[in-house]
Amino acid sequence: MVQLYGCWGRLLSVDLTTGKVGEERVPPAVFRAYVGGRGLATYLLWRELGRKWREVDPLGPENPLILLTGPLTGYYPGIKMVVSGKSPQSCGVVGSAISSHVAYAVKASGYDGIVVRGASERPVYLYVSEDHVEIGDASKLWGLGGFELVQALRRELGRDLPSLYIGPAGERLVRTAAVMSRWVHAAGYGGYGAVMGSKRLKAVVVDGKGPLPPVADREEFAKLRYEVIDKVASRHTFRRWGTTAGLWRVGYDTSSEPVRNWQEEWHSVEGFSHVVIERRYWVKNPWADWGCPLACMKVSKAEVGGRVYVTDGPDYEMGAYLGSNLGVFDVDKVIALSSLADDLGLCGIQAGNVVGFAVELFERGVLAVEDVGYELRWGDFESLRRLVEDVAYRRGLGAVLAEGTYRAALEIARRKGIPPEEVLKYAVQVKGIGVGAHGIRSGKDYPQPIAYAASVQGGDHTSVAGLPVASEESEVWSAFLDSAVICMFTAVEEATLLKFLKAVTGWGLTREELYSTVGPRILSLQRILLLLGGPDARWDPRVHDDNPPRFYEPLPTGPYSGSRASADEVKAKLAEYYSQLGWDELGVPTADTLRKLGLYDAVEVAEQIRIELRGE
Amino acid sequence: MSSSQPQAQIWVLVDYPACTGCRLCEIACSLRHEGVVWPAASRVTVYEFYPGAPVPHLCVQCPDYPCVSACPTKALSVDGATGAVLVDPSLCTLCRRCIEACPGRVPRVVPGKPYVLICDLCLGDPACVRECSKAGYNALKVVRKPSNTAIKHYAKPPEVLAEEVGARVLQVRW
Amino acid sequence: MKLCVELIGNLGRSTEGEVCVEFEGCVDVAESVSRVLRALGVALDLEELLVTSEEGEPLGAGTTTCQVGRVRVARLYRGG
Repeated sequence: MVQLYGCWGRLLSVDLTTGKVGEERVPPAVFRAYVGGRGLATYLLWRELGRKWREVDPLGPENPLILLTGPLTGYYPGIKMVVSGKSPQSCGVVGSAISSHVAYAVKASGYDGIVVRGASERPVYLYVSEDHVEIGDASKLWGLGGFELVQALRRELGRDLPSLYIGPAGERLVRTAAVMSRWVHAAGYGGYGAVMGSKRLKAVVVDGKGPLPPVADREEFAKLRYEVIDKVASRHTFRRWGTTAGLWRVGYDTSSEPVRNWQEEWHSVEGFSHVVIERRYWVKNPWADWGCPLACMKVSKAEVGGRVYVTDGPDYEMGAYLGSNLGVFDVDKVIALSSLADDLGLCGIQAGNVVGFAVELFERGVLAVEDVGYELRWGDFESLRRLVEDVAYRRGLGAVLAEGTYRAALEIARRKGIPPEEVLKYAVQVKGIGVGAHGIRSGKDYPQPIAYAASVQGGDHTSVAGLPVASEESEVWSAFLDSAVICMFTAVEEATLLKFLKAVTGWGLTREELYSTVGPRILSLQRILLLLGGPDARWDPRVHDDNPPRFYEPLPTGPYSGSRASADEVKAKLAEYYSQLGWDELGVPTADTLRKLGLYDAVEVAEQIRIELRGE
Repeated sequence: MSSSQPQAQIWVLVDYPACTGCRLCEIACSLRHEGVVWPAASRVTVYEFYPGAPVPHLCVQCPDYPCVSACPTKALSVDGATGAVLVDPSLCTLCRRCIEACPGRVPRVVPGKPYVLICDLCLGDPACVRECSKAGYNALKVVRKPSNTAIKHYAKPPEVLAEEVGARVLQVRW
Repeated sequence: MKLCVELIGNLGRSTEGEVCVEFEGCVDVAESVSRVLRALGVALDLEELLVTSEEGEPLGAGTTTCQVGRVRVARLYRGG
C-alpha cells in the first residue's frame, strides 16, 4: 500500500443540482502520475468527460468547477490554488492559478480540493470545514461587487475566513469573468468565473481548522524550507516594486508591452511606471499572501472623479492591459480601472484585451456610435470605464464583448456582413484566450516565437511554450509549477524544487522523468482536450497554432521598430517543439507517445482527431 | 552558589505597518508547537478585515493576568522567567473562562487540542519572531517586557484592532 | 579565468545561446554573470534569473570563476 504524504487523497464533491455533498478518493498513483493541481484537474476532466467532451457546454451543469491544491500547497513558501473545468474561452482545459488562502484552508479541512457539479436554481454559497459542509442561501449576497461581498461574508459568518467568489460579471456568465479572492486576486485565464456563475455559486468559504497532512521527511523539509525562505527573502527589488515595475520595463526596456491594442509595444512615458505609483499611490508596501517570504504585492489607492479606488499594485498585467493597451498613461486612472475590474470580478487581461479591440474597431470605423452608445477613444477614461462596466453587466455592445475577443470578433463580422478574417486580424488572441501582456516581436522579453502558438492554454502568458522542452522555457515548467502548485515568483532552481517535493511527498521525481514523462503526460492530455474542443469552437492546428496576425506586423516604434514574428521561424520551431514532445507534425500526440505516457485510452481519440484533420 | 541572573521577562513587540499579512508567524508557531503546519493551532493569529491592514493578534501578558485569575482549575500559571502564561494540559477543562476574562479574547480553542492555546513565548525564543526576521519583515520583535501597564490595552478583540489599523491605512471604510 | 555562460531561451537569441568571457583573477560568479548580461544589453537583475551549474544545481554564495568554468542562466520571472 503506497502511503501518501503531503496530500490527503480526498476531494470534496458537491452537487448543486441535488444538494448532495460527498467525498471522492484519489489514489496515490494518480497523484504520482499527475502531481496535483493542473495535472490532476486535467486527469479528472478527461476521466469524467473525455468521451463526450465536444458536446459538453462549459456553461452547463455538466461542466465541473474544479478547485485544487497540489502536494506542495501549504509547505512550499507562498500560495496558489488552481481553478479549472472545461474552459468557456478555449473549450479545452486551463489550470488557472489564483493566489488564495483558500488553498491552505482546503487542505486544513482534510481535502486536496473541491469539485462542484450541477447547478443551483437559486444563488448559493458553499461553506466548507473539516466537520461540516453547508450549501447556504446567497440571495442577499448575489449582485454584490467584490469589495462589499468580502465584508458581507465576514458579517454573515461572523469571522474573517478565506473565500473564492465571483462578482457581477461572473453572475452574468461573462466569458471574461474571473474567480476572485481577497479583494484583488483573480483566476482569470480560462473564464471560470462564468462557470461558477452558471452554477449560481456566489462564493466558496473555507474554514481550515485542522493540520496539514504529515510530510515524508520532516528534517529535510524544515531545512529546505529555510533555504528557500532565505533565497526568496533576498529578492529585494521585487519585494519593493513587484511586477508593477513592468509598466515601464516591459515597454521601454524590452519593447513588449501592449499599447493601443498592441499596435505598438514600446513607450517612453515616464509617468507610466512603478516609480510614480510608489511615490503617490501605494498605501501598503510590501503586502503578502499566505506563507510568502517575498511579499511582492502592494495596496494602491487613488481618487479619480471624486471616487476613491483601492486595488493592489496594480500588477503588471492589469496595469498594462487597462493602461497602455487602452492608451491610458495616467496611473491614477489605471488604478481606478484595475479597482473596477476587481470589484466587477472581471479578468483585467481579457477585459482590457476586448475593450482595446473594440476601441481600435471604433477608430477604424468598423464600429460606430450607434453600436456602442457613445464614442470610444484611446485614453478617454470616462468612455473606457463605461465600456468595462457594460462588459460586466452585458449592456449594449458589452453583451457582445462579454463573449471575449475571439467570439466578439466573429459576432461583429456577422452583424456587419464582413468576412471574419477582416475583424479577427485586430483580435490579439490565441484559441479564444486574449494574449497576456508580453509580446514576442522584439524577442527581448521572455516569450519565444511559439510561446502562444503552441501553448495548450492559448494566449496564457503564464503557460508559454518554448524550446528546449526540457527546460524552464517550455510549457512543462509551467505545468509543473501549476500542478505542485507553487507561485513562480517564489520558485528556485528545479533541482531544489524536486528535492523539496521529495521531502514532502517521498517521491523520487527526477528531472529526467519530469521532462520526458510527467510533463508531457499532462500537456498531451490537455492538447487532446483542446483539439477536441466544442461545442462552439474547434481549433485546427494548421490555422490556430499560430500567433495573432498583429504579431506579424512590424513594430512601428521604439528601438526594435521593424521587428516582427517570422512565419518561417514559427513553423520551424513548432515542428521541433512537437517532435520533442512526441507529437506528430500536426501537433497531435502520437499513439507511441500516448502509450509510453500510460494514456492508453487516449490513443483512439487522438487517432480520431488525426483522421478528422487529414480529412478536412 | 548559582551565578545565573534571573532571565528578563520578554514581550513580543508588534509593528503593524511592517506586518505584510504573510502568516509565516502562524506557520512557524504551529510547526514549533505541533510539529506540523496547523495555522488554526497557532498561538498568534493574523486578521485582515481591510486590504493592506493585517493585524497580528496574540497574548500580551497583561500585568494583572486576568486569565490566570479566572481559571477555576488552576490550569493557568505565569512562567517567572519569561512572564508567559503557561497552560497545564492535564488541568485544563476547556471551560473557556480565560477567554471571557481576556480583554482581547486571545486564548484559542481548536478541534483536536484538548486544552486552551495561549502563547508561551516559546519559553524565551519565540518562533514567530525568528520567522518574521528570517523573511526580513521584522514586524515582530522580542523586547524586555515593558513596565508600561498600557501594554494591557493591546489586548483588544481583532475587530477593534482591525478597524483602527484599517482606517489609518486606507482612510476609507466600506 | 574563462567563464562560459549558457543562456537559455531569448536571453541567448543574439549569441546562439552561449557567451564565454575571460576574467582576471577569481571573480564572484554572480557578479560575472551580471557584467555579461549588462554587456549584452539585457536589462534583468540577478534576482529574476536562475544561475546554476550546467547540471542545474545551485551554486553556493561566493562561488568564483576559479571554482567553476561554466554556468547556466535562465529566466525565472516569466510573466506577471
